Amino acid sequence: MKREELLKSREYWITHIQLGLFELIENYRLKNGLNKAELARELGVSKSYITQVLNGDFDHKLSKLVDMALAFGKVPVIRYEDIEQHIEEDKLGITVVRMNPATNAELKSEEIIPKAKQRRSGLRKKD
Amino acid sequence: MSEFTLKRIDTVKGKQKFDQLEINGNGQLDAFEEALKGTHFEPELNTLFVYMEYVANNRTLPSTKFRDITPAKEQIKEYGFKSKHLRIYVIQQRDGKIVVPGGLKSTQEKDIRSLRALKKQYLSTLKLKER
Repeated sequence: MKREELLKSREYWITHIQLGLFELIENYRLKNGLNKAELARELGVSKSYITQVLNGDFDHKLSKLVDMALAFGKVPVIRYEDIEQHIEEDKLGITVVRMNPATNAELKSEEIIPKAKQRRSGLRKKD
Repeated sequence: MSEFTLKRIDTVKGKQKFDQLEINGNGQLDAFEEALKGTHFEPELNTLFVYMEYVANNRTLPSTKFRDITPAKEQIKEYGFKSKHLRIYVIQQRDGKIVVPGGLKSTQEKDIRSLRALKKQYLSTLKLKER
């Protein structure tokens, strides 16, 4: 399969959202030493719901996604980009970092974009 | 005797390299992908590619999606990526993973046996090359 096909598939984006939420919650759970039942109690949701999210199978309402993000002190920033531009940027290695909601994406993008541009203009050899 | 080679999987981008095992020039992942073409399992393969990308970027996956299946006392690690109906099996290599065969959930026991047989053959060819 070509990467371009993968980037155009719905599964690619759905899975990234699911795994982003998984990372957010799992990191919080581990940091605070909570089991699933304790985490569910803290959030006011059922244990089966937490289990589903921690299995990477979240496919609930958009409002639930926002509720969960806010509960962890995060905002779910969703950006709409032109697909062809996105694929082009992916080739340059820019978008991989952007898709990670659990890290400081802006900082890493700043680090990577100049390198990618330098590579494209032939100023910089491959790392 | 089968000839084993590795081919980079360009679909998966990350810090770790992901290669597919080729047997006599036939890519195991390519063959799996071809077998799934036109079936309702095809979208699940996209999901598995995302899981591979996560691991390639050293990120954590739920244990229900990615699991260490290495038998006790075995040195080279084996892992399985899991979606609802599909499995992709990989072995550890320096700086990454080698995708061996994929398969259906319903045939996973047979496929894991096949993975271990291929792994053994592949590693023995590497030892022969080292000599």
